[in-house]
Amino acid sequence: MNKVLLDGILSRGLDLLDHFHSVNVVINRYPAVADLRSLLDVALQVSSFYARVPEPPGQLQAGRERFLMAAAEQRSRVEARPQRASQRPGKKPSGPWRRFSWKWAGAVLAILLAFMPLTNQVTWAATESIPGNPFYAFKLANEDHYLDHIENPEVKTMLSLSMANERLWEIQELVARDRDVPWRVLARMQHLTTLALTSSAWVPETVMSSMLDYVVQHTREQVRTLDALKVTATGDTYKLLCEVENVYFEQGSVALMALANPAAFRVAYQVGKPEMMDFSMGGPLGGTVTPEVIEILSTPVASPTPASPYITTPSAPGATEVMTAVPTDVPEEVLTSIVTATVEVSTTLPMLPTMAPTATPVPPTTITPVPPQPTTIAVNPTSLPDEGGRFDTPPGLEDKEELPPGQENRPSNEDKDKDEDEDEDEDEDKDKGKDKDK
Amino acid sequence: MVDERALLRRAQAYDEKALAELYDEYAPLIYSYIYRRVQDAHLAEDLTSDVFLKTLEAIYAEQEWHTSFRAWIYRVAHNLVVDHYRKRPSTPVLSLEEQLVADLDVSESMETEGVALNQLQFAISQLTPEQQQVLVLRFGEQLKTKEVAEIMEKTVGSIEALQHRALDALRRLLKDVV
Repeated sequence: MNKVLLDGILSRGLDLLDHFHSVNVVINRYPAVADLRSLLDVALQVSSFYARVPEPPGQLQAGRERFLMAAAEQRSRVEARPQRASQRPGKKPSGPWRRFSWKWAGAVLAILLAFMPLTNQVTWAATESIPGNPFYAFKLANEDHYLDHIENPEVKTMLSLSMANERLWEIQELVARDRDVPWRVLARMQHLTTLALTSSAWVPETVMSSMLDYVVQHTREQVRTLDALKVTATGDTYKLLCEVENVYFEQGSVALMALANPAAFRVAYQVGKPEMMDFSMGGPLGGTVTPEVIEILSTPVASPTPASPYITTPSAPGATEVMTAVPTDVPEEVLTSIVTATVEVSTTLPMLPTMAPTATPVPPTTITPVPPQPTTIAVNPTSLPDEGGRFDTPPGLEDKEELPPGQENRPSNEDKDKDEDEDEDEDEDKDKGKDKDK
Repeated sequence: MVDERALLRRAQAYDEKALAELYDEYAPLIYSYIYRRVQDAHLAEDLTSDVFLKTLEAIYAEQEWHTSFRAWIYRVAHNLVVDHYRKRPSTPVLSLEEQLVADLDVSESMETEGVALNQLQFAISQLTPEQQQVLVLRFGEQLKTKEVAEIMEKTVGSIEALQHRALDALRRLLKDVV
């Protein structure tokens, strides 16, 4: 019998079962479902199983109080702060204001603006672009160009983190616009986080722990953002956000382990072989993303929104954002190092004014970070996708549904079922597409 | 049934009464749903509380509801359950036989329709999260196929096919057990 027809017959039978609670009665009234008797029996068992729900131990009162208290706090916060016109109820922040709330993205934007030999209009269009926008390839090319010319490892670390953050902002924008998020965005984010770690292995010993601590704080903030994003995400977007979070967990895990054993981290990453790290003797954490790491990174920090390491100041109306390289929450030793270091930039790039040496020129940094090495997910740097992104979907980042423990042993025919299901869902979703009310 | 839109509008305006009403209306539903997924009352209560904190964020972020609020809040609950399994420390996976031996006493005392509860629970845990979700919504929450489709953002046809496969897989798993 036609499979779709069978699905429909079973569904009708289950509806009747909801009403009569007896398989025999259902079959008497609807004989077409007789062949599916065994499934109706299972459905009845499942219904009985799910009927047993104990009373909540705390009668949900603690949650109620928490909920109302959080609402009251939110209310007092809102009432206490004067709102901008664009944030008044009923009007969502839009345009540049939305960007200002996203400090890291602002930092990247400002750095890029300061260095790009382009007119302001084109630059602005490129830096505001997201995947799918014609200027996006231009934006990525400029990021690459800029990264290629940074020698100072502290600057490179922080810039890589900022650029990874820019990817996160792009993902946020795509999700907000109900658009698919290309996997290459994730691949590039993976590349940038790896680059940040690799670069941090080259910072002077005196500032390394501060720099690694900074990476951990940064990671924690991103995990918080992702958790908020995941709340309403569904389907592929949810899976992708989980993968993005995994990237951050890996980054944070390495940084935490490196804090426990900086020497091993330095050696392993300087030679470009992260797998050489042996932390079993240096710290309490293992070599992978452990639940402890997830716990640490998922715990909100005291200051939930750490300030950008750069202060961004809006310039005159119509002009683009200008950055002064004055770190705010960066450890002082890192700050000193960054401000005094000479950033070797090719002659085609203008020097960032505030980062240029002032009174006493310092010899250029001679250390050259080794090329980035993947930590856990291999990224193929030779594959060039469209729109200027450098990477294709890396191996291991295919669509995967998160399974509860124990499901790894699911019979293979289940996998097949699932695949069939997804294929059918796709087809049917296409059919439905037009009338689906979004 | 409450007027969702009106209630949400009042909640957005920080009307405490509306917020309390919102919680009282949906918290028991969400608790039941999560309990059926995790089979742990304390955990279900904690996760229910988390769902409502997320809800609060969404309300004040003036989220646009693509579907009904009820469908949306079920999705949040589902995501939190999946996330919980994803983040929690992995527990050693017992084989079906080990599981049954471990829970022998319980299985003898608690039966439903000839199948021990723990056998059924174990068999359900072997299904995919999507299959589990459709079973909980359909047979636990007693929702109609159309409502399940709205929550899972699928077509009615997809849900019918999914529940068919879920029941079929469960039947095969239970057959192995019994």
